[in-house]
Amino acid sequence: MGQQFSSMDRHRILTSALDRARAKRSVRMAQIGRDRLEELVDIRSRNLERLQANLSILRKAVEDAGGFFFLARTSREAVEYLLKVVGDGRVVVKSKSMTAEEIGLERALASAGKVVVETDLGERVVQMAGVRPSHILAPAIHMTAAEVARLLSPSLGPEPEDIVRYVRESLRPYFLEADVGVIGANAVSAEDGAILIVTNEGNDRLVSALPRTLICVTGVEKAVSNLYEALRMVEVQVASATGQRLTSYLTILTPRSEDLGRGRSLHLILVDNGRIDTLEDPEISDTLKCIRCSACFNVCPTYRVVGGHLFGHVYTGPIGLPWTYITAGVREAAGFADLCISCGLCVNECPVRIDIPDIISKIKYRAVLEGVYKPFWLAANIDTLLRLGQMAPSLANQFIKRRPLRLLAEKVLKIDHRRVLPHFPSERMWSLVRRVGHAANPRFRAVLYTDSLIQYLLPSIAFRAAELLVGNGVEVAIPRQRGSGMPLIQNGLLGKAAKTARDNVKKLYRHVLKGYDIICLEPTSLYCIKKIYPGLTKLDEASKVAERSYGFSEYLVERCGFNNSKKGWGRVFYHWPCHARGESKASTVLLLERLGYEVRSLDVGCCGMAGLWGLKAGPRGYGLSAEIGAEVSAAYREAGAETLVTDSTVCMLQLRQFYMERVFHITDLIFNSWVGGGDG
Amino acid sequence: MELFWERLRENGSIPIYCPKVEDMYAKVEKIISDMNYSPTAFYPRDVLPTLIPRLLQMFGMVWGRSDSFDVRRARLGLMGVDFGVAETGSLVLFTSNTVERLLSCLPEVFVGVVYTSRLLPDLASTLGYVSQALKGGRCVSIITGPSQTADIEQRFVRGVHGPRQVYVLVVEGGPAIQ
Repeated sequence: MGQQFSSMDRHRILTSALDRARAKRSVRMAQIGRDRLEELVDIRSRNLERLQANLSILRKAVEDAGGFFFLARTSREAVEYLLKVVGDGRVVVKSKSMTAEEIGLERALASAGKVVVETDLGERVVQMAGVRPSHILAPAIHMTAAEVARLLSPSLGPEPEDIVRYVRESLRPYFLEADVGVIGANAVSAEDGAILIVTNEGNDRLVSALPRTLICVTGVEKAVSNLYEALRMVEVQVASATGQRLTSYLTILTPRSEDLGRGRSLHLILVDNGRIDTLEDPEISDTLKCIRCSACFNVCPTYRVVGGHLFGHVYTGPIGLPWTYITAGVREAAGFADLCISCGLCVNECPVRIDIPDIISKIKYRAVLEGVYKPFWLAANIDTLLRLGQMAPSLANQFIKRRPLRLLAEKVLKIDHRRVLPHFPSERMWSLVRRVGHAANPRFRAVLYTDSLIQYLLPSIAFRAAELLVGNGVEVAIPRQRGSGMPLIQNGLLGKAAKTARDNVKKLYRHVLKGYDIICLEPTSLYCIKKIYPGLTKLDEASKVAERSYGFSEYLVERCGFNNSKKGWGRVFYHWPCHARGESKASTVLLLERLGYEVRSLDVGCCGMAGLWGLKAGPRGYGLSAEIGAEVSAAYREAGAETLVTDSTVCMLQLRQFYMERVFHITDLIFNSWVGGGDG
Repeated sequence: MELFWERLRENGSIPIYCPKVEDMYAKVEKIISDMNYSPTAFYPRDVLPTLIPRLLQMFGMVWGRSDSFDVRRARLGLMGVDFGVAETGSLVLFTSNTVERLLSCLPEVFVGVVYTSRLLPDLASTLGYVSQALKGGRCVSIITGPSQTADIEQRFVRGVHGPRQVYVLVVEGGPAIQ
């Protein structure tokens, strides 16, 4: 099926779909506003705390209303109950439910000889194609209209209108004949025993109105106290998922609605399947706040390229990984955990602020401990390797330059031989920075934190950065330091990462006590210090260090009041590193503008390097990394800029792979264009 | 009212204003004859009691009483709804049997009739009524535009499993909300 589409075509279909979803969503989310999201976070947390109570209130409400309530501890229990309810029924119609997928409902019913008909258009298509949904909301997002048409009927044309008419007409008889209807739920109100379901197609309405027996299958976390909370949950879910004010249909029903309870019956199956235990597991439990809006999918660099068939088990996408861990176990989650590159972009999208990458790093850690996840060897040893290289730079450079040696390195160290790497410099950072002058009348004192790549391979960047800071009235100290530990975090080596982090925090804190600020030259280091170290080290000092830490551009612009008296340097394309995207506007863009450049940028898009991840030999490292980077490359070509600039040396490596001579570090540009003119 | 109107258009519904109840007949007749949406079915609901005998007489419409046969045949469903929601451009429908609900699900076209006195500002303000309705054994359907999908290449197509056209007759006046 669809062999004629190259992976690039498929990639384009997927990314443009995700971009459209994101654009529509952001308009609506701005209207929803911060207060409503705060309220929702509160609703989700409160209800998870009182989940057991909610469940007993719900059971009572459902049973009092004449319905049937079943709490299924496992998928198996859920399926067994379901089969009993279906009984002699022959035809089962269902409207898309991820929980039904989770418990393997369709397979179970089919092997019991039932005819199971999915009625959601996208889900029906993947059902007929015999594949898993590749996205939790848009299951057939990976397919073209022509492919869909061919799959449904040989005589059907590729017009979506025709496809839809065909599906309407061919499914209608099933709705009318079905003995049993299966629906999911977007929220459940315990107090009222009410189920809330949203769809745009209206299939849920037919499924819930026509068959004599109605079964609702959903996860226990969907239960909230009352109707108000359920409604709030659904509203934000819709806004964040599709950008609509409301889907075409919102159905709210209880076991006594209409003729349910009078000839028809409603069974509510709430699936536990690991969720209730997870409530007691604080490292993972935030996952249960998820409202399944799939906003995190839109920005995930690897999901955007590989889609849900690789990036997922039953649950797909970034949040799909913790969901897989909870419902299917560590082994299944570990199967695609390497595809999370710890870029952190999804955190900014999540309406309930789940720290997805943090949860995933904990899952990787557990997977490593259980022996089901193999971290990238280099991640644990990169600093040692770099130190060795520095001891014998000319020998190390042979390994970097000469093809046969690179092939050997690929075999042993799993560093892809195609990756262009910088050479070890003849002069070390420590001796270089000794030549940095002193600020005449320093207004600030700051530590320059460089991270490993700069320290060992690109020390001239540290030198220039220090010179520029001195020129802007900063007294700079560069103490001995370790790498940020991001590769360890990315690979689930959290024990080692915590050690590194504690070490860094203690060293930096000594300077903070003496009144120093911390300037991180690498966006990833700042990300680690601010977002990861406080939780990872559990040291009070970590938050104090975080408070005093700045990015290089941020420091120059915000603290030093950097400006340039000469402008008009032309247009540049700025690549905004993922780890700097937490800021609403990149400080580096401001810096470039003050410097006198016209800046073009892309508001989504990872270069694909992701630290050491893009060094990894093979398709799930270097290969995928290049595919991810294609998006940034295309934007750069369209921007009509000569120069490509970034403030991360890691991104720089990747960009140089494509556009060697046109890629600059931010310090290069300042060095070339700055003639003075700060406000000090 | 203005917001309701704007939001109806935004979500793909077609709003039609009726200054007086009697205006409704001509509007309904036009929809039916223009598009040739026959057979038509409607449900005799207390929301618009005066409408029923006239429509029966005018169009020889089918009553969707208690068996669903007629509803399945209908190409157009006509029904008074309980509330309109301005902020989302939604129709709120409380139904006490499935036939009633199916009238807004199965046909190609749905015509909802709402009095201006029954417009509520936003979804949150429907809560009390919704909760009352659920206690009274109703099913609550909140309809916001036509049935639609973007599952195929993210292209919008209407009329998947529900109506591809939703007309909303906004009738001036009407009984006050109790």
